[in-house]
Amino acid sequence: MPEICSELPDYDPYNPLPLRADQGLERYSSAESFFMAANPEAYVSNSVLMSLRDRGLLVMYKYSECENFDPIVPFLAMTYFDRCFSREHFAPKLMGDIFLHDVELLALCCLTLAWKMRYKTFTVRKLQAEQPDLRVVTRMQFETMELHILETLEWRLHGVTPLCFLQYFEPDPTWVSRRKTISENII
Amino acid sequence: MDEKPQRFEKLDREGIGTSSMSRQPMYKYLDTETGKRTAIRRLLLKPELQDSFSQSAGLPSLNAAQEEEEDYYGVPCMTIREVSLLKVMNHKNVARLLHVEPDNEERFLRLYLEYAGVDLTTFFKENPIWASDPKVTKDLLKQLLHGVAYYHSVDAVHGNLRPHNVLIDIDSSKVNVQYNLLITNLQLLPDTLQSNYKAPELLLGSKELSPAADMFSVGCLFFEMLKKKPLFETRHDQIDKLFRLMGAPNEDNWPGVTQLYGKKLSEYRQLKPKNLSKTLFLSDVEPAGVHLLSKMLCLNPNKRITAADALKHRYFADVDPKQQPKTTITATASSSASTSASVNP
Repeated sequence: MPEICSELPDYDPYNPLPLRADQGLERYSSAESFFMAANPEAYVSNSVLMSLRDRGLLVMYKYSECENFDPIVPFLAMTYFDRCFSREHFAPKLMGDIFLHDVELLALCCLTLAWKMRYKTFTVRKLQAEQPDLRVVTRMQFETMELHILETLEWRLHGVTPLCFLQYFEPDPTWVSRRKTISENII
Repeated sequence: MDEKPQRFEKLDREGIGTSSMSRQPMYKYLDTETGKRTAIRRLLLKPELQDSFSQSAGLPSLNAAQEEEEDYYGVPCMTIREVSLLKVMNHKNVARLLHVEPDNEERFLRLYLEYAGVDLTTFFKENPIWASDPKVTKDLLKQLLHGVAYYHSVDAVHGNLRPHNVLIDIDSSKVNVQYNLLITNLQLLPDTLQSNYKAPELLLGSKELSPAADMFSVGCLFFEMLKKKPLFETRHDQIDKLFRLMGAPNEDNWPGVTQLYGKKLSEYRQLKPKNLSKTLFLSDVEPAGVHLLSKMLCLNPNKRITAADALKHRYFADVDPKQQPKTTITATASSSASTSASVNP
């Protein structure tokens, strides 16, 4: 019996929930705070957390580079990372004694989750084939860290970001053609 | 058997059937935080069993499953997408996802889905008089279509529409008894071994669930609402019965069908469509209802009526438009527990 595939939409950064154009702005405004870092002022002023965040950012920068690079993936992944890290200030101990490695795995799994939301063809095995140094991470480490992130984010991966508001502040109907440029500036 | 988390109290006597995954009885639970009744759907954290349709159709072979798992790291993509979409879905006629709980030892997720009233088959058995009222049928179909249209409006498909997943809650506290319909997606063993609500394109070999395939299932459920029995009793001869009823597909009624399913179609004779009203003994149903049913059971998925168009069909012309449910979608932190869109008692 062949497996039957159910279609579920790819993450759309411009209409992630998704909503009709006439009901979006108010909903996105009320929902946005949930998709931001917790206590953002305390988070950004904590130098230890920020240096660990920089490390996470480097991990994402390194492993998101690929032939068809999509900046939305690391951008979305970074929002997951900030939401997680600002709430918990720790990552599950999965990579031995060095905390930094756990933070790197946290960043890596935020990236794989963002990829899975954007492209249904993405698999960790394909990423490992392109990035051989990732083969040291086991299946269980990936699964445990991804589940930790999903639970911390309460499974809300349809991230509301500043990109959602583009269409409301750029009323010109031709905005779609300039969307990429504006998005690049935001990212 | 599912363990009881503190937040959820098992309602012992309210069994709702047997799980198609664990083969254990399934029960309702009371969500003590929201006061809502819930039922658990399990999603394995392995790729091979995540699709409810493939489960009801039978498990894949062990070798295939092992091969697939070899290629799979982390939480399955479709599980992530399905749960995260359920978290933001909010419609009066769609069961809300109240809570997600992983079982790390056995590697599955428990999804606590809102549950209200009884399923469609039980509703027919327990309320034969109400269930025979054409106005009730029309009201229930309209609510079903609103729920299905909502799924399709967020670019999702249900994929498992059958009586076990259609819940009816009767509110008799008001002067006019009200029926609230809720679409859920539980994996209960169907009455027959195979699902017999599948669209012809799936029976012919397509692997893709689609809004049109959902609408065919709605057509089967509509017939069941009208006649209180399934349109296709068993699946093994469903396709033969369907072709005898609607005619066999050909290039005239379904352009491109030969290229898609020509080999499979060669097993069937060319048959002409029959008069639905006579063949299905629908003489007591108003002509507009029979017309709508024929549109839902249309062989060609590209010509099958959509949920949004079905709601505009003349069959519903005499239904009060003020009764249309509100459509909302939310992503607030407390949305799953406390939003107003509710059909619970």
